[in-house]
Amino acid sequence: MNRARSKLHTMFLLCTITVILLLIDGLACFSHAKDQQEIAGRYTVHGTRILHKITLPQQRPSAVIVVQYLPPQTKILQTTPHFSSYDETTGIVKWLLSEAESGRLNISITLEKPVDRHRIRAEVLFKDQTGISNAFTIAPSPLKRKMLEGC
Amino acid sequence: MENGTCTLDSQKLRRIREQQKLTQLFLATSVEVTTETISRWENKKYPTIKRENAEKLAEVLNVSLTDLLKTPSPAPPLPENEPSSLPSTIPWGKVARWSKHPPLVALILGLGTLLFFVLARMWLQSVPTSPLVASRYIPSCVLPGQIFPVLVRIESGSTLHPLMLREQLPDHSELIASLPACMNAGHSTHQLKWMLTNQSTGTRSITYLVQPALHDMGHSLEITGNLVTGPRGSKETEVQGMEETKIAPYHWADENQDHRIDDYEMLSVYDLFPNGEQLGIDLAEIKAIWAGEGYQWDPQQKRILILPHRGNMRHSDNRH
Repeated sequence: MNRARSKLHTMFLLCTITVILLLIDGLACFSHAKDQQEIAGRYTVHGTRILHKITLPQQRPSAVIVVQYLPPQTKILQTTPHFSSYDETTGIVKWLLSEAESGRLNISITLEKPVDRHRIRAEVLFKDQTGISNAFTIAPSPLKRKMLEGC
Repeated sequence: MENGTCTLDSQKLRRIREQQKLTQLFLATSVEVTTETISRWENKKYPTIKRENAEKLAEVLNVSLTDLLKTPSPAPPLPENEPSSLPSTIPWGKVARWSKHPPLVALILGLGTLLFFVLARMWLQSVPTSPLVASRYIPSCVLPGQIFPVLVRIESGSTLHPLMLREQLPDHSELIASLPACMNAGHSTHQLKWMLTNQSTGTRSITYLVQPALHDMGHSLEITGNLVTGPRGSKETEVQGMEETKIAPYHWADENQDHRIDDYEMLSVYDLFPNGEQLGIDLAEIKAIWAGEGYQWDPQQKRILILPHRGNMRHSDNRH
């Protein structure tokens, strides 16, 4: 009986070592993958106000461009931060954010009149660490980042 | 026999007990152990027991202690082709004991292999394996007389020796600025040199601005260079990548030469030259072209004209 118990102890010890080794390996993979967090974001519409909440990864890109597509001829009263360009005929607003720190980035837009949330969309353009162009669509519910072909 | 223990011969013990028609219970009671212990002594081939118990056993069985003990067996004969020095050092008993537990041996070997791979993987992740590589980026076209940036990226594994980057500018051109500072900046030479200190790993970037003196469209400017390392500069590696740019009516940031700077061209500027502002790249002009409709080259005035947006555009120099 003692012999069987001793064998059982040995097996238990070896299994514990195996689990510890696998955990170490898993942790190494996790720490490697942690650096490759993606950009995420969503927006909310409250009457005349649109608020974007964008999360930038720890190793953020050198610059990101946020593009807001509004209905043509929409009048903008104010944006924070100030937009880089706005074409009222097409309703395309752009922000070039080159010094954005990692973490959360908020953009607020105040319009002259309320806008239908289904008639607007927005996206974040950026280059990842390998220099590949990417576009992340911001929506009321977050969508996955899609890779642009031929960029 | 050592340290108050001795090794019994279980077969002898069983044979003597049975010859004397004694039960295991009797023996156990006499020696003051349990019947399970007697059973174990009789079933295990060579059990090691306390000398005190062995003496009690001999007394109860009315035999001498040596009658119960294991007689030393002669060493197994060696194969003729085996080296004679090995057998005396190999613990034959241990080998025999391990060979009885093949699953345990397999498990230990498996764990050893797993440990090896885990450690090897961790080591490979920590040690850079890439060789020394330098690559250059030059815009494919530049406007006549326009200052343009050049980027040299050096990817190196761990190197014991310092590195020197040498870049040869064309005759009709001038170095305007560089990051880090060029060793021979300010001298009337077209060979630029940068000394790079030892760094264990990673990518190093050297950026510099060049102004061509040529204004004739279609002229090419060639930049070549190499990386010198090793003891007394014994190893030279040619800088790979782009070597040539052409004088053309296109801004250097206008990669697809459509007289506009689109979103991805704008991001490329920041991606390639994150320290562009510090280097002295005219980012405000590039941003203005990007935010507007495009640009045109005015050959008479020798400057670019930025085309404003057709829509109700308000541009701001946006700094977050």
